[in-house]
Amino acid sequence: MSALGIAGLDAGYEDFQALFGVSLELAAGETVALVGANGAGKTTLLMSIAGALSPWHGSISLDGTDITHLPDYQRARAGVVLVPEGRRLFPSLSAEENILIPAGRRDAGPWTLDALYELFPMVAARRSHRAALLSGGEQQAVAIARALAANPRVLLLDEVSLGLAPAIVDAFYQLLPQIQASGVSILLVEQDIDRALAASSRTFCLLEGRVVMTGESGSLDRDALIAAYFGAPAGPPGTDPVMRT
Amino acid sequence: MTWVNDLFQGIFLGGAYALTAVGLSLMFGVMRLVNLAHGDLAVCGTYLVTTIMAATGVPLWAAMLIMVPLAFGLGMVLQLSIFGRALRTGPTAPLLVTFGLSVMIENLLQQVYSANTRGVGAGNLDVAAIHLGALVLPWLAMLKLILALVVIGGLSALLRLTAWGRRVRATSDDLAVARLQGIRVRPLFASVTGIAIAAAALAGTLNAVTTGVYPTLGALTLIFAFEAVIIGGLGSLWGTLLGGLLLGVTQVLVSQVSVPYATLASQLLFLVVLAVRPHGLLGTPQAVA
Repeated sequence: MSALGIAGLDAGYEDFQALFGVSLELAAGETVALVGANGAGKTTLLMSIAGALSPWHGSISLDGTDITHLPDYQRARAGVVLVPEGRRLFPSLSAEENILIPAGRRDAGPWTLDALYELFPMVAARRSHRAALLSGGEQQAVAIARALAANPRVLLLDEVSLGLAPAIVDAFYQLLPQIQASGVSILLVEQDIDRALAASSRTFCLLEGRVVMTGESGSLDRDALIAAYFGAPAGPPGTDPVMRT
Repeated sequence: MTWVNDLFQGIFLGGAYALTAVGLSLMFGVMRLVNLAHGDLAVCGTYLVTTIMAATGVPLWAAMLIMVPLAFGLGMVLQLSIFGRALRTGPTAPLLVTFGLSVMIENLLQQVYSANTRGVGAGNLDVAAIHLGALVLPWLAMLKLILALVVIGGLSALLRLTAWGRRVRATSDDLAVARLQGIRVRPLFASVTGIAIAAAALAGTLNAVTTGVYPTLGALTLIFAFEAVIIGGLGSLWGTLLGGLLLGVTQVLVSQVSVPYATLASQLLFLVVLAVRPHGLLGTPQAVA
């Protein structure tokens, strides 16, 4: 039984369909990477899983229980937690207040406030500062700490490295094994293919709302993946789909 | 010495304005909902008190103790039934819905209670005062100011220090993300509206001890409450207190020079603040955008 099961998911916005029959399984404790170009439907998929968007067709299950029609706030309490793109902290709350927000499974796992401060010492140092006044890296750390505070079964990470300095992104990926060790299943959306492959056991590639490639991250042919990423034959060797900023 | 006394009377009047306005300020600050029925709901609380007193013969304070939880419940029911739905529809729906509610309440009150002004029997509370030389400290006015301070101070503490307040502030910051963090918004907003309506009904009743109550009093109540909120700054409870005090002091001081110009002066104050500092004295510019 998979921790997260997605079967035949169609989703979109009003009359624009963004996802076409997406199916995906996440085993307990597994990290799966989701790559794809801008507009491929990665965020739409994560929003559908988190419950912010109602799918048109298809089903979503958590530990074998159907949660397709569970409202967003109940999904978070059930253990499906999203770290949204752009962090989206509550700006007027302090760092610590942000982390205290998640309702539900606070006592259901290892991520107490103390454990989170141990994982992110920089958050501990800035705990009483308003979130709006933190640096980008600090905000991202608070956003991940806030999600972990709910002791998620499934953690959805939407482009956590977006807009951050490479050194800070490196620091985050060095922490990832500690988060994985808590047994949480992670669906990682990442534009940087090399990071995605290195951090995950399996990789899915989305193109225009469809899963066009999937496989073990360790054995995926990188050139073929890049071709799938763009929906075109692979470019000349050495071209990289990601502009590292 | 009369100026000192006038200043005190202005502050007392301002306390009454602030107590009336705090619920309006809270609902806008948290939900971005402008409740045009705010004054009418305050008046409903007053009529409820007079009805309780007439039916059971209990004194004013006891009738108010019964009324406040009922007003809280009415606020919750309104939020769960129509305000919440209007908020989910879009930014203009709440204006239309609360305006409609205002019209309905005023006509319903005329139907049930007639258009005549009713007194609120308060013993000698409306005239009792402490005299310190030329300084007159009326008990009723002091009570309103103290209640304004208690309600605003208490609400600020609740918002700042409790888990409930943390959830309210988070939801006010970003409703969609708050839901994704497991916050159930409907009951949370219902509790906010409950508090707002209870405070308004309390203020309306105490104000009516002096002025009496009539079905269309709500429109006038709303105007002063609205001005206190705007002058102090949208989204700031302490700003609402400051706005109420400035309105009250302006009105009383000018009335010493010319009574007809007193109301005009407070409206001019409102206009000047809107022109010079549209986000209010203690508000932040973003809250208006």
